[in-house]
Amino acid sequence: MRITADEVLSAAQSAAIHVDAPRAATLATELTRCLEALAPLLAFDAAGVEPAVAVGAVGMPLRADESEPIAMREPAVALAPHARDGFIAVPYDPSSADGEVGAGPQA
Amino acid sequence: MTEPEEARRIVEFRDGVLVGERAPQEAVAAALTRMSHVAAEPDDLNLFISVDADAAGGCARDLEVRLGDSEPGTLLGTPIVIGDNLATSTLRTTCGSQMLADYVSPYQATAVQRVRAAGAIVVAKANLDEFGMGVSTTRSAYGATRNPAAPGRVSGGANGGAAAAVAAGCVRVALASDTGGGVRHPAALCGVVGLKPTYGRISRFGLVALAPSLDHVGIVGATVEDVALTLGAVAGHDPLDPTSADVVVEMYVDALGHSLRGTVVGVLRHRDDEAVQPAVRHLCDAAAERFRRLGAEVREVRPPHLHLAQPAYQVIAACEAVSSLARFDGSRFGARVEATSWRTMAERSRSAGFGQEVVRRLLLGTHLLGVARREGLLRRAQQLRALMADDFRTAFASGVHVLFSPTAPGVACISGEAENPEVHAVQERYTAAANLIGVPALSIPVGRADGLPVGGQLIAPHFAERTLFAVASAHERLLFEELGG
Repeated sequence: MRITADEVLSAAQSAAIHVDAPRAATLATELTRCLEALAPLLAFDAAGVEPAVAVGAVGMPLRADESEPIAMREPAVALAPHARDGFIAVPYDPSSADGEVGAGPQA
Repeated sequence: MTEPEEARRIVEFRDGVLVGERAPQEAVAAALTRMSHVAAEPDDLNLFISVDADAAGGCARDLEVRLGDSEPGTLLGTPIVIGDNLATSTLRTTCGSQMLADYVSPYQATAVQRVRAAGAIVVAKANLDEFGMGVSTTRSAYGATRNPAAPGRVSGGANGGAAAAVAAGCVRVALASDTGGGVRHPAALCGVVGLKPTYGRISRFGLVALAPSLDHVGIVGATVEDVALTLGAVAGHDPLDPTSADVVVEMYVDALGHSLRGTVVGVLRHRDDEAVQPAVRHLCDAAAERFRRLGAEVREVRPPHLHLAQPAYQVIAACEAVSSLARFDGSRFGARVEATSWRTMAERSRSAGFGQEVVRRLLLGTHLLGVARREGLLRRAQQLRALMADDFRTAFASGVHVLFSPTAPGVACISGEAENPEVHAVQERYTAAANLIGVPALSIPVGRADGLPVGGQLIAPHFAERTLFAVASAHERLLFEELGG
């Protein structure tokens, strides 16, 4: 199992993290070493074993599917790096066809 | 000679407060003085990211008002340190990351709220590897935490600050997170007690998520009794955490001080045991012999899949971290690097805010969930999780009450070695299994090798924390006697 520098760049794009080409080559070496250490997972007999996504005696319960007022709204907006008119403000994304032109960062 | 306040047992100090012989301010003042002495030493251990001397003093004065209450609190007047990935509303919560350098949570974690309700006083937030990713506390944006037993060596991780704060005598107890050993590993390397309780035993509400199916809130303490008392204060169902268990909270301190007659201790044998340092193996063998002398039956247990726990943990943790850390994009909170498009802003913010280890693990997780999905490693790790749960169920069903192993395969390494991937890769070999299957595990001191602390790990069935405390306290007492205490 190995990962190439191109695959590192692809993963970086998906993860929204900037990685330049020299760093991608270094990361490919480091991550290939990680993947090799994980290889024993492919060596045991897993036939018929149902994967476990939960732990413990109580499993992974879900909360009730009910909507509630957002009590955190005001503090949440206050935490945002930029807010406008009570809403979190983010820059216009030119890749979005209906993005609001000029909705850039507010001081 | 008067015993220093910070060395006083929690129960002893609390009783002193209740009869008017002690004041909570004394304990807070003693903790803060000790913290400043430690920070002023040439080898600053770098234990804390934030200290709140003023608020701590105010809380101590408020507590005096509660002295007349019928339930003044089991941790009355106890100074406590909180790992910096548990939300506090008075101190910032950085997770050891530049990403959250100025983040002050609008709410506090349930575990923090509960220790405060029990009378504890939060004096500081402890250093940790960034977002809990690491085993050395050298990967914090706020510098490395050093080991109080040997400042040239690492404190273990991810929550080395919390463990080292207890080991250095600043406080008796701390709350911190344990995702693959984050409480137990540094507790072992620093020579204190570290508990990862059953999954769901302590609410995770307000714990900044790393890998939600593996994350636990744990406790570091100077003694087994301190940890048992603190668990009694923080355990219990919390409607704010859907994974919190609605299971009755027992009187954990009542489990202390009993004979081990009739107890069966299973010594875990691991396919890779030869990688354990001889001194660690020797001290763990001596601990097993102590269990025998205390009346327990000791037998060997060989779970067939135990050697795969660490790789399974690494796969699941990396994949879950991808979604847990996706929220840090500069939009809603945390650091933002400005740009003219959202995509560029998010990429620049994440690249500037995350350290190298976080980037490495996020790329690994993204790769495993993307291109490498065809290899099926995540599914294999989840299947392994099911098999391992069966292995442990079988062991406990065979009459074993508690399992025992080293906590870490070696003593604290020197700081430079922490970056060696081969050293790094084996540190969670013994601790990760308990996170994968959610059973409680406790690291206890078993002795020292050339002056460096060594820990042994006890593992019990779900919600059997009392069994852990019973075995651990008996061992602690005998070890203390052997050391001439």
